[in-house]
Parts: sequence; C-alpha cells; structure tokens
Amino acid sequence: MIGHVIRRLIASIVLLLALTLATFLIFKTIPLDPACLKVDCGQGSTATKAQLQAIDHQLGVDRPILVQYKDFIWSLARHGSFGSSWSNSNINETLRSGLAHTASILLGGVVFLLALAIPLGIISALRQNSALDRAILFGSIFGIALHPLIIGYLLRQVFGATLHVLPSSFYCTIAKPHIPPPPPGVHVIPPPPGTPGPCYGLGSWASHLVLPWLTFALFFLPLYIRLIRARVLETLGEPHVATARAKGASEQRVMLRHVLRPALIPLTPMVAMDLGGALMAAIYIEFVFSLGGIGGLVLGVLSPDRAGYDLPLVASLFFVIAAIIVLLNLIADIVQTALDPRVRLSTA
Amino acid sequence: MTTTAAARTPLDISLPTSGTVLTWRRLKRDRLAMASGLYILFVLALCFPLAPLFAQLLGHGADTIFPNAVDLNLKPVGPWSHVDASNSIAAAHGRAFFLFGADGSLGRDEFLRLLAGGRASLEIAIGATLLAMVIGTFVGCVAGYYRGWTDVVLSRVTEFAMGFPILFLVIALGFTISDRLSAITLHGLFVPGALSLIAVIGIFNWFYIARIVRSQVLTLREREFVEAARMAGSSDRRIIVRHLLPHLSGTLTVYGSLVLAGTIILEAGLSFLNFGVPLPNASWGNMMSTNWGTVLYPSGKDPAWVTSSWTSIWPAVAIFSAVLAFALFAEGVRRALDPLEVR
Repeated sequence: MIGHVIRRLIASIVLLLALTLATFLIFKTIPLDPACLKVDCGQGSTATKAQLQAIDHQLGVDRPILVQYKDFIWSLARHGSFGSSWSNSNINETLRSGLAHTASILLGGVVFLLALAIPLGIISALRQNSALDRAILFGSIFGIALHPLIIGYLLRQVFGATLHVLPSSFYCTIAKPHIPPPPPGVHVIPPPPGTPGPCYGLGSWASHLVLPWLTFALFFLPLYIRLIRARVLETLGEPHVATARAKGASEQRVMLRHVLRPALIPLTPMVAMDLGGALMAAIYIEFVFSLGGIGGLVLGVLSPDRAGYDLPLVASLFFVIAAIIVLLNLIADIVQTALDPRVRLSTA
Repeated sequence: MTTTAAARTPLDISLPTSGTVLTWRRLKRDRLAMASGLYILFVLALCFPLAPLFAQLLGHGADTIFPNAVDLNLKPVGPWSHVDASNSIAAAHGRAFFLFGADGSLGRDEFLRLLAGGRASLEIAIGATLLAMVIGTFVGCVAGYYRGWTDVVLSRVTEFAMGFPILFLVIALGFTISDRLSAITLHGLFVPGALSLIAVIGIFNWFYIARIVRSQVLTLREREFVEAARMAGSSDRRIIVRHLLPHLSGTLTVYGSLVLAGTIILEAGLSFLNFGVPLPNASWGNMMSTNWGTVLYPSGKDPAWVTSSWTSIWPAVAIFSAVLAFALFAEGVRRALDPLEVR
C-alpha cells in the first residue's frame, strides 16, 4: 500500500513536470511579445524597440525557455511560490482567490448532486420498470443532452431574472473582504448613500451559489442516476443479498447493510475522479453566473483578444489544476481500498 | 441449437444470422433509436446539401446583412417576418423572408446561419470524433494486445487525461496552432477554423475510446479464434486488423456516437467562449452567445424574455436536439448489441 502510494507519487511528479514543460514549450511558439503586456505596442505605439527589449529583459523572457522553466520549478520547489506574473501580480494570491471560488462551486455542487442522485437512483432501481423508473430514465437521457450553458441560462432567467427568488450573478466571500486603506494623499470618493457595500457572510455566499450548485448538479445528475441505478440493481441480484434475506434479516437491514453499502461505496472514488473533469463545467458555470474562479482566470489569460497571455500565470494554473487532479486520483485510490475490502491495489 | 445435423438444410445455412444482421434487426425494432437516427440524417441533409439550396431559394446568404431587419433599438425581427431588403447590398429580391427571424444587431438570417452553424459544428464534431477514434483504436489495440510498457503508460496518461479539463488544453493549444491552420479550408470543404479545432479536439479526446478498446482487446486476445489464427501463422498485424477490429465495430459505434455528442457540446462551449470557430463564421456555439443574457433588452420583471431571447434559443435547441439524437442512437445500438442486458 505504502509502496503503491510512493510509486504513484513519483509518477505524478514526473507527469506534473512534463505538463509544465509542455506548457512552456507550447508558449514559446506563440508569436507575441510579452513586453506588449506591460506597454502599448504594435501599430501607433511610441515604444521603441530598445524599450521593448529592456522590458523583455526585466521580465526575464529573453533567456532560453529551458532556463525560464528551471527557474519556475526552482522557485516553486524552494519557496513554494509561483513568483509574479508578467503583468506583475502575485500569482499565489490570484490563484488562492480563484481556487476559493471554484472550490465553492464544485464542493457545493457535489453535495447537491449526491443529494439528488442517490435517492433518485435508488428509487429508480427499487421500482424497476415502473412508470416512475421509466420517467427518471427518460429524463436522464434528456439531461445528458443539455449543455451546462443552457441549464445555467435557463435557471438564471427563470429564478433570477423573472421570479427574482435568488441572486443570479457574482460571488460573495464568506469572510469580510479586506479593502486596503487608500495610500496617503489619495482621496477616495465615498459611495453615495444607499449603494450596497461588498457582500459577504455565509448567507449571501450560499444564496449566490444556489443556482450555480444546481446547474452543476443537474449537469452531472443523469450520469450519476444511471450509475447508481445500475449498481443497486447489480447488487440486488447478488447471492449475498439472497442469503441475508434467507437468514431473516429485515428488509431495512438488507437494504442498508447488504445492498446500499456495497453499491454506493464506489461512488466516493468516482466523485473524486470526476471533480477534475468537472472543472470544465465550472468554467461554463462561472461564465454564466459571473463568478470569476479558475475558469475565468484561464479564459482571461489565454484569450488572444483580451491580450492577457501570461506564461508564468498559465504554467502555474496548469500546475495547480494538474496537481489537484493527481491528488484526487490518489485519494480516490486510497479511499476505495480503505472502504472496500474487495479492492486490492495492483502492484503495477 | 436444438436442430440436429440431419434437419439442417441448405436453406437454414443461407439464413442471415450473423451478429451484425441480428443487431440490425433488433435496432430496427427500437423506434426511439430509429427516430433519432433519422433525425441525425435529416439534420445532416439540411446542413450540408440543402443549405445552399435554401440560400438560393431565399435569395440571400448566411452572411448577408439586412439593416431593415432590426428596429431602431437594434432589436432583430422575430420569426416568420418579411423585411424590406432594398437597402441590403447582397440580397437578390426586394423582400427578404426570415423564417427564424434575424440573428442580432446585424440583421442576418437566423435560419440560414443556423444551417451554416450546423455545418461548422457537425463538421468539427464528426471530424474530431473520427480522428479521436482512429488514434484511440490504434493506441487501445496496441496497449491491449501487446501489454507491457505501452499499457502502463497508456493507463497512467488516460487516467490523468480523463480527469484533466480538456477545455483548457484545447484553448491553450488552439491559441498557438489556430493561426497556422485556420486559413486552411481545403477548397471550401471545411469552415475556416474547423481544421484546427478538429485537430486539437481530436488529439485530446481519444483517451476514453483508447481505454474502452484496450479493455475489449484484453479479453478478446485470449479467445480461441485468436489462438487459432496465431497457430495458423497469422502475423500480429493481421490478427489485430482482421480478427480483433471486426469485433470492436459495435462498441466503436456506440462510444463513437457518445463521443460525438460530447464533442458537439465541447465545440459549442468553445465557440461560445469565442475560442472556437472565428466570427463572423457561424457555429451553434457562437450563435448561442448572440444576445446572451438578453444584454440588448434587459428584461427586468418582464416575463417576455422568452420572446426576446429566441436568438439564443434556436441554437440552444439545435445543440440539444442533435446531442440528444446521438445519445439516443448510441443507447439504441448498445441495447441492440446486448439483448440480455438488464434494463
């Protein structure tokens, strides 16, 4: 078990290094001058070539790409810091706030998802071939075809714009946001009375995230309902269930101990593994509800028309995302072995 | 198998009882699958051969701009409206007919753009899926048949790639290669930008198929007919191509249509976020972003958002129905392939 974990960790580190190296190499091919991030360049610009080169030198992008890569990894391994991005922001802070938003969406979404999928899947399996089961299955096929953008759009229009039940955009932090005091000598115009301040607190955090969570849950719901249904049906047909019934166990005990437990345990690693891919749905959700998390960062950083392309930030983003996925995979493995005695980790 | 050897007449032998024929018979009985198959053919026909025909009939193209198709507030005309086309440059007739209304502040024909967008979206989805299937089948066969280090590497990479949000990689890579590839249309065969999207999506989308093919090949390679072929002196290549691939065709149809459905969704998302088909070329994804969130007409308490945001609704319905059709078709084929499956 420990040997397995160590082997996996080594493989993961190699993978992370390869991915970041690939990011650096791919970026090398982009025909854009990083100096353009700092100053206006191109047509009608007054910046001279020497000035652009000076900025390139200051950013350190005139060095060979492998040296830049080495420095990036070194600073990460030595100080645990991603350094600063080309547009001069602290990457660690940018990532931290983005991750908080995205993690809020994903974790709440998973809770919503399981709260909906488990009962529906179990009902569907227990009332197999009934009208209810058919309705749930039919609905889940329709759900597969729904784009998260469409789900989010409909929810936002119906609950946000038309019924005004729930806020339909923006993210509220749980803690009171820290607004730095203005530097001395700068006079800040106070907002006119009656304008709402920055929102914060558990209540507004949750209420702003209900629709995103629901979108997330609805997007993954069809898959999970079908999965849970199939697993429960499979377990119901196994001999140990018949044995338990024959021994006179109550139906409740049979269901809880002998059917649901083995049927639902594999969900834990599945959820852990799906969370990485769920980042994709999170991009759409962040976009629809203007939440600004990791997805928004990636879009902003890679978008050519927003001129935001920024190698250190992109490499750090990819590194963090990949590290999270690798970690989730590992956790999935360990959790599964711990919960399910039938699973033995392979030595390969 | 109760028939004795004596009762077996040549007539029995001539009966079509191959697996493919049986599957096809079962599929034909599945009305939902057949309906979705027909719908797919219908959409393909509309978007590819019939689209220029409709443009001819209506007298204007998908990119023709009609200043009169929008009102003073730049609100486009609704479905089923006739518009004075006298001040439009490229229109052939004096009056233009808009079946689905106009597309936005530019006043282009939503119906024709929906067909053009369908062409782009389906071209990309089909192309990328085929590419992914070719790569995936090849890698899956090699990994499953030869085992060894290919298998180990594939398993690790697949496990990671299936968890990694492909969208990020597609965006990152698309950014770098699209400049070189987006101009290539192969004499109008592809929509501009389609080729680079096909390449990028295909390159990152084969893991799922590779994994399924690998697991199938792992069991198939132990079967007697492979052993027999090997004993008869067949080369590995011949065994894979002639003996293993035919067994995979059913599975590949099922997962191919599922991947295709997923690719339509992915492409729509990319184009929606403006990383896909470059504007002004239509695609279902970037059409959906027109008037997204009804920016033009802030709805407020107005429950009429349905009527004012149909420019987003048409492509949304197109995406939904196409994906649904592919998913239902895949489901039907899967059921037809596996008649004993617990429903």
